[in-house]
Amino acid sequence: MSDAVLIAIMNMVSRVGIDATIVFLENRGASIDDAIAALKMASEKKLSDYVKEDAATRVLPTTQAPPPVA
Amino acid sequence: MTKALLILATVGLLAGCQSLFTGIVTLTAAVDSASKEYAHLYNSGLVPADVAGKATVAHASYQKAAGVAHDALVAYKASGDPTQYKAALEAARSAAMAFVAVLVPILAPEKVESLKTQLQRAQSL
Repeated sequence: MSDAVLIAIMNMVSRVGIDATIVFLENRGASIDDAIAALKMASEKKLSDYVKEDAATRVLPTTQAPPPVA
Repeated sequence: MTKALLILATVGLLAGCQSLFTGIVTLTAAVDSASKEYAHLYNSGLVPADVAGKATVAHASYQKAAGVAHDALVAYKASGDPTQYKAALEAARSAAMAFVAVLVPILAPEKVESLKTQLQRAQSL
């Protein structure tokens, strides 16, 4: 952490207090719960699931019958 | 003065932890992006069979490492003991890098550079 950042944080603590400063720091990056959720998703989703999802997004030919010829 | 130093140390520690968690999210996002790119190429018939086999194995290893890292992070959250989660996170990072390395031959150069940049950012956080 650079000196400039430390000074900025100290100034913030002086202005708004330690609690608000901690809230600010928690919001500027991911929380532990975000990291836990990200790892959970990573551990559950297989490469074959990505393949299936991509296949599902591809345009499928319509099965609608052509209009009758007059 | 002592109180100020204590506050500063607490804030610094918290900021450091936030960087770690952001790094984890960045890492998983990078692998997610690479996986989606692989899936698109696979469905387009552009992935050789040997690369497909290696990618499947590498991704399975990453999945397993991410699961271990998840459990270790949950345990850290509950106990505050960082002993296990650091090694688990490092293993997950290595597995992620190994998976991306397998995909290098089939990905576009700009995509490879983008993924490497994301993974390097995740490691530096």
